[in-house]
Amino acid sequence: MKITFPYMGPVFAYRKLFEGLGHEVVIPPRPSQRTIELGIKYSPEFICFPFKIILGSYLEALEQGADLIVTTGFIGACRAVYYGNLSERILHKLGFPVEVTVFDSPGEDLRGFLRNCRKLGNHTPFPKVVRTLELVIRLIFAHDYYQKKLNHLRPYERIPGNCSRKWIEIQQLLDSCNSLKELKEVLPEANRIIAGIPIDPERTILKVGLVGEIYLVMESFANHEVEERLAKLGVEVVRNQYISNWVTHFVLPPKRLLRQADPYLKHSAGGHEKENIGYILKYRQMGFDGIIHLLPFGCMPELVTQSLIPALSANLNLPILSLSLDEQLGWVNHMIRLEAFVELLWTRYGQAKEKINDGKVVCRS
Amino acid sequence: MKQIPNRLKVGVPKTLFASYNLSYWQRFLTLSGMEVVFSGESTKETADRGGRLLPHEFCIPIKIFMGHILDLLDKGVDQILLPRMTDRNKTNFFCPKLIGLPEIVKFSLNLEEKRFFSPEVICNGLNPKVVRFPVTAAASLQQMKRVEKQALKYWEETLDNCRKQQITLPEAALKTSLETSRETALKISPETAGRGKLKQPEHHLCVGLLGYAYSLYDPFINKGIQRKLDKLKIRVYTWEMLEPETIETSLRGLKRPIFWNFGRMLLGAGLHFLKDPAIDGIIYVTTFGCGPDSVAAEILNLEAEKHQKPFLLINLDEHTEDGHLFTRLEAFADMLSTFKEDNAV
Ligand code: SF4
Repeated sequence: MKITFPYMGPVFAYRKLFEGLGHEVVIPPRPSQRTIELGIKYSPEFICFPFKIILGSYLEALEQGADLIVTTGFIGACRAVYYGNLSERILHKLGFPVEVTVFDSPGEDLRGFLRNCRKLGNHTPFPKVVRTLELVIRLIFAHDYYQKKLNHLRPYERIPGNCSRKWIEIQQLLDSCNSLKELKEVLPEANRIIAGIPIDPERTILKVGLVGEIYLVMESFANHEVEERLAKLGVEVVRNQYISNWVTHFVLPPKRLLRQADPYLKHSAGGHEKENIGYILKYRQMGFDGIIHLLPFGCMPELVTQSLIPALSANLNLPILSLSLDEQLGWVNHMIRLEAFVELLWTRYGQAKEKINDGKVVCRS
Repeated sequence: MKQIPNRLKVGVPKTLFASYNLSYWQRFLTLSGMEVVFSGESTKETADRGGRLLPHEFCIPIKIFMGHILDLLDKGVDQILLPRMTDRNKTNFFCPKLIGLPEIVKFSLNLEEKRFFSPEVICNGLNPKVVRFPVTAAASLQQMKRVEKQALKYWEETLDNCRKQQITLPEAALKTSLETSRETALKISPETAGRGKLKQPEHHLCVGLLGYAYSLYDPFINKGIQRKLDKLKIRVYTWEMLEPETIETSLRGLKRPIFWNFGRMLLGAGLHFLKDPAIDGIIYVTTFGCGPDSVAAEILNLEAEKHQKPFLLINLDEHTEDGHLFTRLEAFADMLSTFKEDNAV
């Protein structure tokens, strides 16, 4: 069987996982305009935007011969729980004899989890499974580590677009590793690449936290390269939605962060909304200049966050811009709002600085 | 019951959760010694006022709910009933917007916590259950626990009536309220209660009508859909007329279970209707911006295709026109008749 999976995060690492288990793999192509159009065409009209993108990319992977989709489900109140099952139904209706294997957390459905593991395990000897898993997890963490680094450097880069180009190089480097040993060897190389990026450390920049629905926050094609656009406006973007964080939080839920969000939202509504509120509070403590909140049009858990944002923003004295994105690729409007927002942040920054110089207030914002 | 001079005035928004179990809440609050004040009927103004407090892509039922809260505040209630809808066993969930409702209301209206009467409630789609009672001067914990049981019994009777007499929820609620004391009588207008008719000879088509109680039975949202169907000589069947086991049995056939408590009732009923030869077709009423329905209705739509049963999805919004809706229903009825004749030969 030829395996494919949702396009999300470090897809090259997932390929290594399944190849390590002896499967053939089709990596879904990076979503394009065509992907989105395909997704829209065959999705229910009012389903969330990420579902449409993912369905579109499944269709592209199926064109390339994939016949088994592996994805995660989990149990909760969010629609993402049904992504796998719903796409399976739609693909069957379209006549694709595809199978969709949905992984729930072992805590929720241990038997199903083990059944899936056995199926995908493909009689691979246990030591090899462990080795493969370790490599994949290390790759994911390395991927995210360098992405964070580059996001941090981007607003300081002297040559526009340099960080993004180097990012492609680093991804290729990581992709070339087929064992832990090789990974160890390329890491210094990756560090060298990063150290070689000419930067201007004296530049004054703003710091903004990016929160929201995980798919839109993580995937640059879905959020119109918001990180790069902001970097051009002199803004460093910090986010905490990475696959590695997701894995960490899955194993060890960020209890403190969630507890801090309690006054704003007692019970999780099934997505990352509570975590996001926790991060907004944390970024405020860290002295960030503002927050950008992204959600797909109609996303239920993030709409809950969005309705709390006016209160959060007022209570924290922190500008928050919430952008709801959909498949209508009209980014112009959002760009205008984004620019105006950054403008506002710069003004606030200037005012705070004046106050400091006057010796009245010593803290920013 | 003794007349207590200063009873706590608790406002009950007559929509969302209360559209399901209004009688339950009314009983519970009244027997706990509180005075119950209902919000008025939903109107365009309710929707507009409520809508202004929320991001525009919120579903209409929540916008209307906010309007009801404003209405209750205008009426000068001491507290507003706003259950904290949760889940304790991870088998079924409220819609995320309902889970976050207490905070959505609190922060968008900038109200203090003490303005709300918020028992913690779980619900399997059928019966509500209070799992934590708020502290209140009006009643002791023991008293609340006791009356909650009574209220639940009363609600179960209402549901039972739906099944026995094959009537919808508001119809059953109206009936039971006529039979009980004034004190706890429901203030439901006949309009909300629909027409209360059993199948009559002139009904020549049977349709499964699916939708959340707060949309389907709210005359402002539903645009009189039941009356229209009646006019088209269509008899409707709804989830509350089915035995819970019937619903559960059809749900068991799903490869992936569905977890939304109200949604699974609709889907389960729908799957049953698909297999019931007495039902000619299915109408699923959803409202603009509803998340769970975008999944549940699509699953049903795909299943209906497999079973070759006519399926109509109606997406209501504030701008739905009466005439347009009627035309669509009429066309569907025509199709059902033709389909029926064809299959009869
Ligand atoms: S189930 Fe649908 S209509 Fe009801 S509150 Fe949730 S999104 Fe709104």
